Amino acid sequence: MQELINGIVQGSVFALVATGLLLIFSIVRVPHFAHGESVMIGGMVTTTLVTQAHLPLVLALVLGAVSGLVLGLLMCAGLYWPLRHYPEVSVLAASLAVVLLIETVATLIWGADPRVTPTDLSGALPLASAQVQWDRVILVAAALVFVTATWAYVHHTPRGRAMRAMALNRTAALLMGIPVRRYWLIAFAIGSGLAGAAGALYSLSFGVSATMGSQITLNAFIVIVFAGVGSIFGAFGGGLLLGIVQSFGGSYISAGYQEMFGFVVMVVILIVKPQGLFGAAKTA
Amino acid sequence: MATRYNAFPKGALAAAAAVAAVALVAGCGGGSSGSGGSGETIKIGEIDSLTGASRTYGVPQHNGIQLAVDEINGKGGVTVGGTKYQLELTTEDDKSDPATGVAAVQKLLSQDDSHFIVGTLSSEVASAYIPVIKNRDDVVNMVVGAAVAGITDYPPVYRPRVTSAQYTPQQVDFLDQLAKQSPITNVGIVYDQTHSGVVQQLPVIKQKLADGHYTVAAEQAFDLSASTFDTQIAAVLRGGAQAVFFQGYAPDAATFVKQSRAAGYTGPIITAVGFTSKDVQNANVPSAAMNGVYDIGAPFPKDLVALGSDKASAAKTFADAYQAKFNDEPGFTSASAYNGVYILAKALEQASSPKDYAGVKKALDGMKTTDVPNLAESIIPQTAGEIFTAHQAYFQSAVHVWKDNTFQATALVG
Repeated sequence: MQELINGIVQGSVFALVATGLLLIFSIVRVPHFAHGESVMIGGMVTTTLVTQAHLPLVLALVLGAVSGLVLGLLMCAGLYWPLRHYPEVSVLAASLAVVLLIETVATLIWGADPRVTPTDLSGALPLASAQVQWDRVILVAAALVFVTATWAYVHHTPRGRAMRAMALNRTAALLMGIPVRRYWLIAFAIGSGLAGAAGALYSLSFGVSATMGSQITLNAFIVIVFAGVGSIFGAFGGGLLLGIVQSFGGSYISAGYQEMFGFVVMVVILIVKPQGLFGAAKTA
Repeated sequence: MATRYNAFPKGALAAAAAVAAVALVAGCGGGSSGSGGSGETIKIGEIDSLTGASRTYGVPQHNGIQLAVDEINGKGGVTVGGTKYQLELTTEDDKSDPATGVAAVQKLLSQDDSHFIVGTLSSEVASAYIPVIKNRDDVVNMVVGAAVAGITDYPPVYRPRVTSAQYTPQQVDFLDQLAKQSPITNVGIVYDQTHSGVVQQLPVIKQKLADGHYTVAAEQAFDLSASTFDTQIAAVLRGGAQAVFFQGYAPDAATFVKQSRAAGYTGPIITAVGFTSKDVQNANVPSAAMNGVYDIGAPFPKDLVALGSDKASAAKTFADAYQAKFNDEPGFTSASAYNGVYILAKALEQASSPKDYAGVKKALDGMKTTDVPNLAESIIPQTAGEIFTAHQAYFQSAVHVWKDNTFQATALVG
């Protein structure tokens, strides 16, 4: 039972990050490998604002999420937009270079040690034979709320419909007069904001560090492969699945190979259902 | 139409360029200091983990080296073959990364012409660069941090620093003491699989536990700078571990303590990480959660003072000088680093020239603890009072317990 709860908690973070990445990837179609840096910035800014600036926790969480959003917008404006006509491999290389740059600067600022945002939350919610600490209950609940809100925005607002149109057929969307640059920015704002929020919430329960971004991004890409491109709640389910697979695999086999279990399942899914667990099969 | 889409604010691009410039400047190579003016110099190359995951230990280690170099130069330098020399320290950051460490050592040897090397902190980095120097007659490497066993088998390498192999029996002996107070039969082992010193000792610990009739209830690995130990803790709880050996670095140990206590594990946690209250604060560990955490490791200078060691006076002098220079307490390996430079300087003074590497090694082989009176650590004198046996120094360790919101040494062991 404890393994299941651990998996759901960890998976909620993966889900939140993957939802943001899915949104960006669907609209912009760039391999945004620096997405995890918004998670990192969100976490590090939150913990710094609480421990150094002594801001109230809720305000620090909001500012943490906003910092992730701002970083995403900067990358959109300073990197992906100028490179939009370049081959995908060039964009990929630039994206990886940005990861290194941001990690280096973040390490210079914060060092390499993991940090946790201090809170007054204590105690745990007993659940069958296990217990869930309250900060983790908040994390899971917040992830569910954010993902639902994102789904509602994408499916029930005019801008959301425009974004879906861009995701379905970019050329047709352009011909219909949808302003590409604006929707790039909206996609990066929402996606990176979700990532920043994930980092901020994560820092309440777990250590955040200057170099955590690349691993988080990798997990988010695994989630997208699990889920299949195109489904926000699919990404949520994929995130939970990855968390649970890692938790059980790590606890019952070896925590040292925890990350590997996700890749094994990913490869199996790719072979059995290449469109992902929640993705629709393409027809000719 | 196309130009319209290009109209992003210039500020965003400027900010990105500024970030890149800062990173590039920060990433540029090592620094040189310490000669203090004109005249003859002997180059000392330092390789240390000033950034990256081992930075917590690497920076205080660098400070210990810098302090010793500055003190020696302040006293006029070293006299080698009748000539006075100042020490010129060139520091290379290995970034806690083996490949960077290898490149740094090659740079020290080829470009800087530094054949006396002090460092490094990281066992992985040391293991990676040792093959570069192991067959060289013109290199002397004082390892003052890396704990991985076996590297002193190579002629250029001397280590005035404790090894992980020395901690292992001390940890198991301490577990025996705890087991006398309340029964312990099941033990969990949580270890950093990226730390070669720790990985190397894992079978030894398991064998010693088996010899002591303990059962390993859970054996769980993690990677350095882990953000969560949920999986490891679930396995420890499921296995019914009554005590846990945590093998890794202090920041990870602090995170493990916090998360395991929150998850309901109440038993003793035995570490050998050089815990400080700063690590506990950084991980936001409640003070109550630290009860039952025992850290066994090389004593900090303040421990030698508190326990009335015969090295108390030298340790206090060192700690005061460190505090005055860096406005901080010495770190886990600061004193070893400081001692390493003094031991090397003393050996240089017994050589015929700065190029007399064989003479330096001969001096190191025969050097006694009494030859270096300001040694700020509890080095155990060997058969005839030497510092080294087969290039390795041996130390007493201190048992640290959490009391009054800090770690306090209760006894010297070993």
